[in-house]
Amino acid sequence: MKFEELLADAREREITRKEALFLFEEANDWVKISQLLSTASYVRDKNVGRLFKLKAFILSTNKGCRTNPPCRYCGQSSEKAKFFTKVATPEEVAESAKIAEEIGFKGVQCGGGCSGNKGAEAVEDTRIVKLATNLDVFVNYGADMSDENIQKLKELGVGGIGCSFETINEEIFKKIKPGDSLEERKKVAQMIDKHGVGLASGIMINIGESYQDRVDHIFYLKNFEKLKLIYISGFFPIPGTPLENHPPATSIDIAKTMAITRLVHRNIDLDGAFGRDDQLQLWIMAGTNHRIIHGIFEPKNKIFPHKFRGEVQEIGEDFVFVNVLPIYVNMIEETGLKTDIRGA
Amino acid sequence: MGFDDVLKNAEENEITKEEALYLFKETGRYDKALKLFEIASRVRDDEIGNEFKLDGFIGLITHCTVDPPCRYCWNSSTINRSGFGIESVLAIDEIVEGARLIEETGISMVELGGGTTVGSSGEKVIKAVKAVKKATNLSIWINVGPALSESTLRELKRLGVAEVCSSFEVNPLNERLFKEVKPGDDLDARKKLAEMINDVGLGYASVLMCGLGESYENRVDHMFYLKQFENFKYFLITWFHPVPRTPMANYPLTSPLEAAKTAAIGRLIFRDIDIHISGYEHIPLWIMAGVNRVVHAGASVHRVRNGAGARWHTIGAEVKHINDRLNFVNLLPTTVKFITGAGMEVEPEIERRWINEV
Repeated sequence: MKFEELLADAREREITRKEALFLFEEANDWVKISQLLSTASYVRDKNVGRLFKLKAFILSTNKGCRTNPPCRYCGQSSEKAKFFTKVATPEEVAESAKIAEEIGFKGVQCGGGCSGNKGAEAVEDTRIVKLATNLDVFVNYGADMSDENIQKLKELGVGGIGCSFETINEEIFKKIKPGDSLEERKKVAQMIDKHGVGLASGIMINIGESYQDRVDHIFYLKNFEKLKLIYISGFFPIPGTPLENHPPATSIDIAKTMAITRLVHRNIDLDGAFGRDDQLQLWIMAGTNHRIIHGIFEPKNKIFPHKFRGEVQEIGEDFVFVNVLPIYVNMIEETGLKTDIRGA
Repeated sequence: MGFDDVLKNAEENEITKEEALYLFKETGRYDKALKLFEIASRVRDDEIGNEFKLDGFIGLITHCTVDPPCRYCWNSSTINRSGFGIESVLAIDEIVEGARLIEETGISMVELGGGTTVGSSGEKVIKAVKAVKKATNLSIWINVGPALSESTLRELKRLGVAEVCSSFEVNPLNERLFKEVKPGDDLDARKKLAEMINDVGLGYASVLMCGLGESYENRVDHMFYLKQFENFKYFLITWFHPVPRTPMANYPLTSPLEAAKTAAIGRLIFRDIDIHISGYEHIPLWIMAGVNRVVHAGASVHRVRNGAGARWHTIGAEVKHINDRLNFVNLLPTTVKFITGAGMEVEPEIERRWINEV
């Protein structure tokens, strides 16, 4: 198998498992990485166009994550960096949705942790947003979702439901997510798919998995007929967690994984994950076409360390809207793509 | 002039001012950026090889008295945690201990950095260099602004200092912009320092900051201004990040792609010198753009930062508290992986100590 010939073929057709593994193993210098990214971008342009979708992550009534023990990479397993510090009121959720709609967004994500309420907050948040606005809603509350609530979300017209595995290597899953169940997550993803609702799912890299694991994961997601979005997240050590000394994923490894995912999943939306958005332009070069902007609505006490800053507007006593949209638009347009905040 | 033709020619030949400007203007799409990067990386590999250098950093060795401070700098923030005040200057024994720790990591070059102490001839700098040279075998470069006399530069040369920096940040030919963003600074003093560094035969280093309001023409003029110095050895690119509660707090953040484009075009102009872009998280992108050396991505010694966000600057690093007020931050476990993952090598001693650790 020759690297350049394979990339030439990949411009026109989906790559196989064997080829995906070959690309992971071979794209290990700047020349080949650059060729891989160019091909992935070409495939993105050809199949989903030169529009880059932006959605806003709005506030949620989610009660936080009760996974016990918490995932070992997550801020929830640190005393210093807990993610869920405030729960928004229904009024605050509605206000955040209205602000998102006013500045031009067509789609928003409501999300949070596995609170144990089986998606009740997802239904509640979606109702609030739909009542207050004409926005499209995508929800992501982990695997904490019942069949009944998926049906309710479908009836409310939700555009997609998230259910991420992070890894499908069972051993690694247990190691990094000891309070979670891969089997349960697979069942929830299947339920979402069975209901005919769009599925969004994430792959986390640099958590001890092999390239073969990544390939298996990318191809496992081919089983879902309604797969709408894949997001690639790179492990990021959070101080105070059991994995605080594990090295972060490199930006190039994230980009390679995105590019190879694009050569397999050619027509769906492809995204990164929060915390590394200053790498957005590299992600665009790697074939992504979608970003959910986290940090645009935040608890007040979380806004200061952000790399991205913008005009701040208060929402109730505890939350703020930080208008970072111009930063995203600038980054996207510098790569020659058009920003799409109105699309589905 | 066609984009592909300019790049083809650039593989073998230094580009002209017109071509540099053309490349800035034409590289408005990711696919063209990737083509530009490919040629810049090829030129880097052909001209200086495939080894990526990681500088250590010790600072501050001098404090900043520029008044009013530069409008983009932490020193002009109303938040009372300036990083460039006298309280951040290290004592000689702290500098020595820091240098020893840095040398133990396998790093061979260290920046001794500080603010511009206006009117100083650089006595503190000489003391710091002598102390580091006595305690270690580290190579040294100096970055303290225009606060060095000609005799100090001669002494630094005698002491074996490799490079000294005189930064402009913005195009030195655009006096209006310089005054606007650096109202308390002295452009002529910086130009004079650059000439003196060059004339005494020290390596000359200089910083261009992207995103301070300059045009592409300004960036090209800036680079060709630096090109006149025969001893210009180290081109450092930084990119504007708004600092809260400064006069430029609401000025837009510059993107990494702009910085990478600037480095790549710089590589096609300067060919065989060292080129840096700040921001270790982006090293793989920098490598794709022709960069071969980065400071603040190896090991650093500086005052403990208490400000919000300090925690995030050390993600992936080993942090050691030398004393209550002094930190040793070693990013090599992370950055070596970033570099080798993008297909470049690190210096042999760094490789020996860290390659099996990552």
